[in-house]
Amino acid sequence: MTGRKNRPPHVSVRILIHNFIIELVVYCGLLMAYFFLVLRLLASPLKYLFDNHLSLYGFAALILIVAQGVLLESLTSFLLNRLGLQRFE
Amino acid sequence: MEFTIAGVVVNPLYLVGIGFLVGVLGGFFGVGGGFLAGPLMFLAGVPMHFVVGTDLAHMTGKSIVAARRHRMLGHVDVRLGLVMVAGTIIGVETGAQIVERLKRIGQVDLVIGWTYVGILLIIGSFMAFESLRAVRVIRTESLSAREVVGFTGLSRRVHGFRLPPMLAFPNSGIKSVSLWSVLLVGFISGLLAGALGVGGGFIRMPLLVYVLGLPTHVAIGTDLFEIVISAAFGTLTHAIKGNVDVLMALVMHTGAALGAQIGAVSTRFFAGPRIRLLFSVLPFVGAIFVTVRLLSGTGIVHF
Repeated sequence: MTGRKNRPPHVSVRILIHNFIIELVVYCGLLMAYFFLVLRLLASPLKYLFDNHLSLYGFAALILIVAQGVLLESLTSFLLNRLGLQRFE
Repeated sequence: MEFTIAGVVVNPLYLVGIGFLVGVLGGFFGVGGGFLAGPLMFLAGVPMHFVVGTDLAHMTGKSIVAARRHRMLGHVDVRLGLVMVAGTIIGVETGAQIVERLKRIGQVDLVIGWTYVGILLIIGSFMAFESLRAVRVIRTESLSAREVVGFTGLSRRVHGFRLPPMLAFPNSGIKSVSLWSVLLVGFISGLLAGALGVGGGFIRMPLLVYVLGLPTHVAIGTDLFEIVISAAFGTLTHAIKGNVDVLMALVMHTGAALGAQIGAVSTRFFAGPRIRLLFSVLPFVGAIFVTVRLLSGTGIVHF
């Protein structure tokens, strides 16, 4: 908070936008890798479970979304910390 | 890209965009944003029963992290949350059963669609009303504290309802409240979650504050705790009924994770009731999307 007082506000916003763009680029790259790898790998087994073992599919769906929730939160927090965006919170 | 489980072709970037938008809204306002994600998925041609189930699945991933944060801050009344869970689960299952019945008679798009429109109009009006009132408070600085807090008499009347068993929730400052009042709050929000695929926070939050009389910060944390339970249980029960395309939910969640962080950061720069007033337009936009799709037969917009 003391650091923010000494720094002109327009500089803070400029750094914020700059870092945000970097984060967006990094995140987009990771997203593309995610689409090509994870979705292709998961599509067939999940469709098989959906067609043949719906109960198992239900539990798999829940586990996958919870796991991704925890993983992605760690990733985005890591990126925000590395780029200093968290200082503005 | 074809999502074979739901049997629809949707651009994954469109889904990431939906996730991002509702993530920003969640980070900014503390709402799940399901009321906007649902209409946007429906507009892209996703059948309504998949909209309901998939929306709940993506919300599970998003809210679990937020709830954990609020728990660490001590903003969750776990005891109240656990008691309310019983009502929430019954509500979610009732909602899911309603979707199943409607699916069987082929009316799910129509009935859930128009219910969505009604709920969206109510949310938009409430948000606009609440923001306008806050703007007025700032401008005139003349409203009394009692007027700003609003519905205090309602929670007093609910606390006066003495049907046993009576419970105390010291963490929320509740000395005595009927178990049935707590269960009813859980049931109403659970019903909305199960039938519409929304987290129900927009209804549970006002109920916790105005009806049960919780302090706002505890209401937010406890609401998130309930969203996790209702969304997780809703995901499971809807998935078992064949209403969840988890791949779609995973893709949407990638956008939501980033959006939530951006939303939280941006409150530093864009806070204030005028911005909230601007955002109150969004539920109305959602209502228009659903109406367009319902009135124009298929009305699917390909992205």
